[in-house]
Amino acid sequence: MICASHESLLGCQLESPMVYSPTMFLKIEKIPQQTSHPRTTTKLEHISLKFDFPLSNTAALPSSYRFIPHTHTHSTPSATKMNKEAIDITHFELERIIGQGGFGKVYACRKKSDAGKLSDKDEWYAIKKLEKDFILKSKTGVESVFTELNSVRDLIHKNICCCQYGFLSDDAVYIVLDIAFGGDLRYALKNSKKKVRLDE
Amino acid sequence: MNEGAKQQQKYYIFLPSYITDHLPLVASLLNSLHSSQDPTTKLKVFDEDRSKFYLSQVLDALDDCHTNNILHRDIKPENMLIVSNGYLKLTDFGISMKLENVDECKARSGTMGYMAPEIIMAGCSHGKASEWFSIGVCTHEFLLGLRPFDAKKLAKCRAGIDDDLKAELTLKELEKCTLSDNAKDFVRNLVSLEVEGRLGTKEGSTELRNHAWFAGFDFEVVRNQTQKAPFLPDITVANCDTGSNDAEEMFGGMDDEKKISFTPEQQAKFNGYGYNTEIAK
Repeated sequence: MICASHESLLGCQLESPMVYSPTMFLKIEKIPQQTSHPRTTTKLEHISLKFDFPLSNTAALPSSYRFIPHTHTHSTPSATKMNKEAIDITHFELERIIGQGGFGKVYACRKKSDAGKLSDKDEWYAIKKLEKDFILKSKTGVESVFTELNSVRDLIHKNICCCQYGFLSDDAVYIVLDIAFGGDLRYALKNSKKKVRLDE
Repeated sequence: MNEGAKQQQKYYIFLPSYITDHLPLVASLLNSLHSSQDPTTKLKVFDEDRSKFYLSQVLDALDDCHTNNILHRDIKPENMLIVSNGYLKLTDFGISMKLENVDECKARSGTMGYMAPEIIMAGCSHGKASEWFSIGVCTHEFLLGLRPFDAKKLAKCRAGIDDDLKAELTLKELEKCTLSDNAKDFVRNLVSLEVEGRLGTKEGSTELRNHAWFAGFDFEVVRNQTQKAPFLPDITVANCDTGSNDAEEMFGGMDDEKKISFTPEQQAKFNGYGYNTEIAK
């Protein structure tokens, strides 16, 4: 399984994700696009959103921002080195429940960019906590957990909740995905203002 | 606005313990009573433009899945999420499958009501065409507020589709509604019980995009996300029904740490699980 090779890489030193400020976006805009990767090509269209939505300046940002600074990490004094032996749940601050699935709940969370500390600039993710207890009770549970990770990590598209991380704890399996704050279409339909009468 | 105010109202009811012990069950019963479909009630829907806006994005997402040889297999409104700018993201790949493994899989999985008849039918493999069926069910639901077929009746496809069943599975709501003829035709061709003749079977999503209903629809504008979405969600609220919108209650449910210990054999089943997008890059 390909995951095995990732696991061996988990011990290496990495730059921690960048902290973003409005001035940095100006810098980003000037960077020529080095790849045709969908994540990088969609980044600029979202910038205006930062100012459109009151709740959180980070909420409206796509995770794509994280990938840009690799080209100029040296110019950021705020980026601290963090030893990521392995990513785990302690790197995330769970904020609220945003959904419920068969194996567990989905939380809105922020990834702590600085070890242990939380700042307003931390990025939002959806974290799906799948309880091992429930997974093992289901006949195809373990298989489906792997299927989900294997499928979703190949998919990079702006209309898909892409996978950012996957990891284990003693009692749960976690999968970190792009977040969507607007709810699902079932909920949107339920709250739609437009109505039809069927007996006409 | 009135609706919003109504939702804010709180009712306190004191119930005996034999009910509170089974509260989830009682709640789901009450809920099903409340939402049982009375033909005279008004159903909540999206207009045709908003439906097209969402569907075009689902088609884009599905195309990406299919080019990666992945079948989503659980297309339904619950798995389409709205992001802050009102655009859409497809999620939940829990029962997705690599196209090459599909033939080995004889298990029926998906959500009843959205699952294509060929998946329900015993021993029948499925492919991309089954996803277009689910898209059709979703479109029907967006436009009319309910699914085209009763899930129980659709389940009868298990034994095969005969003329009796076809007579039961008619699109009566769709035929008598006031939608545009193109919209009706689009849905009718997608929710075709047989794979042959279903829209999308020959040329995939292009066939759907080229349908007359989408005539004049600018897919590129939606793809670029430059236009304002037809609906912008209020992202300061929870936007989900997790039982309660009360923040405190939501937090309360977060730390329910139950200590269950697993045997090493059980833990070993999860070996190799892990992914880090920063490293994968």
